[in-house]
Amino acid sequence: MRATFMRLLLGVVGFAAYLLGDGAFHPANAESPVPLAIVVAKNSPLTNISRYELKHLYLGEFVTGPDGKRLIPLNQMMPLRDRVAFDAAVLGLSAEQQATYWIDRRIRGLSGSPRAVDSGDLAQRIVARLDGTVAYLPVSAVRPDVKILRVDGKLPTDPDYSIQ
Amino acid sequence: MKAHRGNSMSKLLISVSLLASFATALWAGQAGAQTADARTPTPAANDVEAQVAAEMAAIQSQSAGGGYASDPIGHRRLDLYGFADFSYQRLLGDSAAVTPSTSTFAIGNLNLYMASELGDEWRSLVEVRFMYLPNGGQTNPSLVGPTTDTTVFDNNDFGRPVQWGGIHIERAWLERTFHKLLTVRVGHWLTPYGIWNVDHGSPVVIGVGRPFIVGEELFPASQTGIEVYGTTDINNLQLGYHLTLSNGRGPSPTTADLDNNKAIGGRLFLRHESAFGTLSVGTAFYRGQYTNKHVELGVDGKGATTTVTVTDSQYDELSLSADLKWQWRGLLVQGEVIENDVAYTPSGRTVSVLAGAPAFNSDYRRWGAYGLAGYRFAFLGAMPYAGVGYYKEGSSSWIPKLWDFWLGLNLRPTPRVVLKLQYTFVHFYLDSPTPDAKMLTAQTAWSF
Repeated sequence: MRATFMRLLLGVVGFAAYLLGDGAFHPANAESPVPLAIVVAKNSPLTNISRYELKHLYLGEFVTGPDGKRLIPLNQMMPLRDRVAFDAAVLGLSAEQQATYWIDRRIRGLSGSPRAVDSGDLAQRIVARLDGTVAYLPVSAVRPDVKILRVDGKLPTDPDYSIQ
Repeated sequence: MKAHRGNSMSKLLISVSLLASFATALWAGQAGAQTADARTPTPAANDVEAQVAAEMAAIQSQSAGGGYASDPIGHRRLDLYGFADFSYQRLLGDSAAVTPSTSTFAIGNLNLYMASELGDEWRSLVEVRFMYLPNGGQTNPSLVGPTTDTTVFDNNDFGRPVQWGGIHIERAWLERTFHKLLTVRVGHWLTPYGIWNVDHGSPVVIGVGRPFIVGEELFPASQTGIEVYGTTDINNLQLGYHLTLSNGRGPSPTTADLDNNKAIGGRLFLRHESAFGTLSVGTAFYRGQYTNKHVELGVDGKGATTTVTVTDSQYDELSLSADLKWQWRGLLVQGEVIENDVAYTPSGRTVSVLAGAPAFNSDYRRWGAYGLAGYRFAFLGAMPYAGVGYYKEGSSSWIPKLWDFWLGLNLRPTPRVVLKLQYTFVHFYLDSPTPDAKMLTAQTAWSF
């Protein structure tokens, strides 16, 4: 009887913890996280971006570079792995929360979501040729014709780099 | 045996020949492919280049952040989307002060947005609300008297009755962003004050209806004119402003200003992000003159036709507001305080018969506040919420004072569908004893 009660109690506590959490059960990752590099065109005057700016850039707000020109974020399609990782690390939003965010934003009369392309490779090819665009992709996949930005002063190779 | 050996030899020769042919073909194919590689890009490489070119053209032809744009060959694309809501309301107990007093189903909003990125940081948005009104509506603000009947008989359907509805243009504007600090918007726009008025759509707002003070329009809900706005960021702090110049309120504010006194307004806000969530605070003001007048024809002493302008109503008004919103994980706390002062001009003071005998209306102040708190869980996007509101208009109003309380559950099983269930309690302070209103409202709102 007591054991049944304890099981029930554990179940209730577990369900409450699930409700109070982000609602997602997180199994141990089979793969270790991969640092995501933030890239811009090689000739861009931008060398560093803060997490705050990066977040607001990808949330549809107006963010400018050192030359005063508007930065253009490029996303990857859902549910590409890099997109999911970037959204969780930078925006702090799950896929569902993000969908809600963009729908609400449109109803408020604000602009829509950043343009999404099929892959990180395609994104960096565009970034290499189009000034002002910003993209993200695994640091191991970065081509030599783009520049990796520091995020809050840190490069993806730094041990405490937070976007992965 | 010989024959058998000869047969085996033939099979071997055929097999060797086939293998040799296959190997030759394979080698030739590889060599050909290598030659082709050296000469021209493969179809796959061409595809990537074409994709890059197409994406670049699309990005260049639109502003950053816009999911709707013109295509590379320059045809403008119109983005159509919107929201709608359907409600069921049931009064609990004797709540005759609330109309309708019967339990009822209703389509509340059916709003269609037409948005377009026009290129070079130009952007347009038109929002219209399709309504069943004026059918079933009342023209008296006290909601007494007969309802409007728009029934007509359809010539194309054997003269069968049909009730026509209307369209309300919620907003129609064009804007150009020059800088993060400067966007200029012209047209008909929602007044930038507080939280609820700009949240606006039923899938976005938490409760089933607007708080009483927001619904009473202590600020005009929308204005026609020019709005200038912008933001700047300092570390994790965003500062923003809005400045407005408009026709102000009036009987037809979207098409005509019946006085030369343009209304001005503004909003300042700041938003701070930290480990304790996002905190936004703001304040707004509106200063304008309401004028309603008409022209009457007359005849002077010489028999010539003359015109006389008669002012039906005119008052100056000042509205002030303050708002606060705190979001931390699933927690949402928000509140607004709004005040509106009205002072009639000497020629524009109206007469009221609310108190029995006709009397000039006095200047008045109305104000109110509401607070709302809720917590959004991940499970079904459930947000239990509670709110309280207070509104005071003074003795000249048919509702001098009230307070209300609401308790509800907002579910968002998918991002596009919201289900709401809300209990509302309203206590009226009226001259005659009036029972409290108690309502149960279920609403589903969806975006499309």
